[in-house]
Amino acid sequence: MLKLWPIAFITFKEGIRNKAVYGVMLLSLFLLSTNFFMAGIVIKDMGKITVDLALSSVSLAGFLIVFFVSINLMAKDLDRRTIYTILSRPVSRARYMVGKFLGMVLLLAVLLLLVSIAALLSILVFKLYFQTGSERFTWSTIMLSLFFILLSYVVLTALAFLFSSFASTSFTTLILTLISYLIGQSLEEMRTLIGISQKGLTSIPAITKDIFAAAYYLFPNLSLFDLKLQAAHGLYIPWSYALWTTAYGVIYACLALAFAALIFKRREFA
Amino acid sequence: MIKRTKLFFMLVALILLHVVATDRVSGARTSLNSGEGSHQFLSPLATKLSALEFKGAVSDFLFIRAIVFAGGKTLTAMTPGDWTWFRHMMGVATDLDPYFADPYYFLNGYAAWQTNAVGDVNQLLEKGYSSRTWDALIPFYIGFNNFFYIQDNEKAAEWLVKAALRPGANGNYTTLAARLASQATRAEKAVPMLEELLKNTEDENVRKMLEEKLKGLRVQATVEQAVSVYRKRFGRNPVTLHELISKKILESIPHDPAGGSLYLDAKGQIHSSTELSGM
Repeated sequence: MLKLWPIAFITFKEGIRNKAVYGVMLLSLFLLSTNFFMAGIVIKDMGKITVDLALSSVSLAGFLIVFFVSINLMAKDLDRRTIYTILSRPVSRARYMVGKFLGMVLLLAVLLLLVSIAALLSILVFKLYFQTGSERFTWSTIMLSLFFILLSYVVLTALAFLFSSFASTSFTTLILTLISYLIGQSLEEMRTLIGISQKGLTSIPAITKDIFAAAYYLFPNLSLFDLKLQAAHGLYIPWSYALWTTAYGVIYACLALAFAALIFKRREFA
Repeated sequence: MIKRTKLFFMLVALILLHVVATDRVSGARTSLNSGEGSHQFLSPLATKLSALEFKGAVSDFLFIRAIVFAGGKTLTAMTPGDWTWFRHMMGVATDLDPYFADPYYFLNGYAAWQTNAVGDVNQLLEKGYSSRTWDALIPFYIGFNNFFYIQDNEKAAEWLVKAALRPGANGNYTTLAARLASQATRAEKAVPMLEELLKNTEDENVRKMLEEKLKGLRVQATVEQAVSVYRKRFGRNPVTLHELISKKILESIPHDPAGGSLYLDAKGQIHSSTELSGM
């Protein structure tokens, strides 16, 4: 455990120095500031729009961090060939990977925490300023939704690690992670569609159903982590849902990381 | 030095050209979008899939786009094609976020009055009814539409009862439902319904329109009441409005708020040279 933290901390420091981080933060703050303009247009559900936009800004920040900061950070050691210096030290490859992953999670958590604070402030300012009294959102579901946004991007980071363990360039990792993200976000819709087809309302070929069933276990169902609508309307989320989804996310991330370590162990560096 | 001056002049020239170009293109986009059929219709499934985890935000965006479009035109300038697109956008926005209140309210406020598509509107409202389980206004709207446009009092009363059953519902709903089953004339039933609708309408344009209709309806209800008194007393319908005054049933001939002249038909029903209440 002791050997993990120095690697994690160096990764975190390296990430925070990345100029893209400031860009991401600025963009998120800009999005949050549009909140007031958007909320002013509607009559009934102003609170919903504020929460939607605030949480979407946090999600977008997570997306940008994973795709433009984390993936670059993973490939850096390989691209700059500093991997040789690191691996020549008494650190196992698996430990190096886990340490690096923890550093990225720390980076993601700290940055999302900052955007989340801004997002929560924007919601608070809305509440104090408009005082509509008709808003239904609850702070507890908003917090839960923020936690799940972080978890979904932790899962995606783990998946990106898996891809980077065998991909030769960071661009390949980026494309593969992006595809997984897109599939992960559409699994739930596909499931609904297949559910409808089983009732005989639409017809979907059997092969598509089989592919879908395989994809469902292979790719993370990212819609599970998306509780923005529930937060915006203050809908009830059962504890069992929150617990099982957390367990699902953590297990998926661990599994991806374990596979990544396994592949990385056997990898030969030219 | 010369180089600097050249650069300076080039910069000034470019800025001026930029202003001219911006001015030229600023109106160009609206002319592209003004033709009938230029609206984009979105597939609900494709939109849902491409909205990824931003369904709420995309729903807000689509809703605001439709509202800005409808608000930019005067309501009377909206073509039937415009209204179809408007309803479609509200449909997609509520597919993405079925709990979003505003599309339902705007749709009912604008589209139900402006178009002959009340069936479509009610279908969308029913989606809102099943997702917004805490909302008493949506079933009230469906009830109102059934009464006012479809003229199905039984269904209207059913929906009013559903509205009354919602948590924190207005106590008036049950009274209105009971009134629908009474012997009162249509206009008499419509007045309290419209008053209730007006109470729950915040949009200024819709409020103004409702107030106009309500004025017309009150006139209609007064005359209808007088006619039924006349019928009971004399066993036939009055031929003119003046008969109601000469028999001292009405004090004076009410004015059509829209400025038209009022007259009775052979069945004793009131009409106006303008559209009195839209009923």
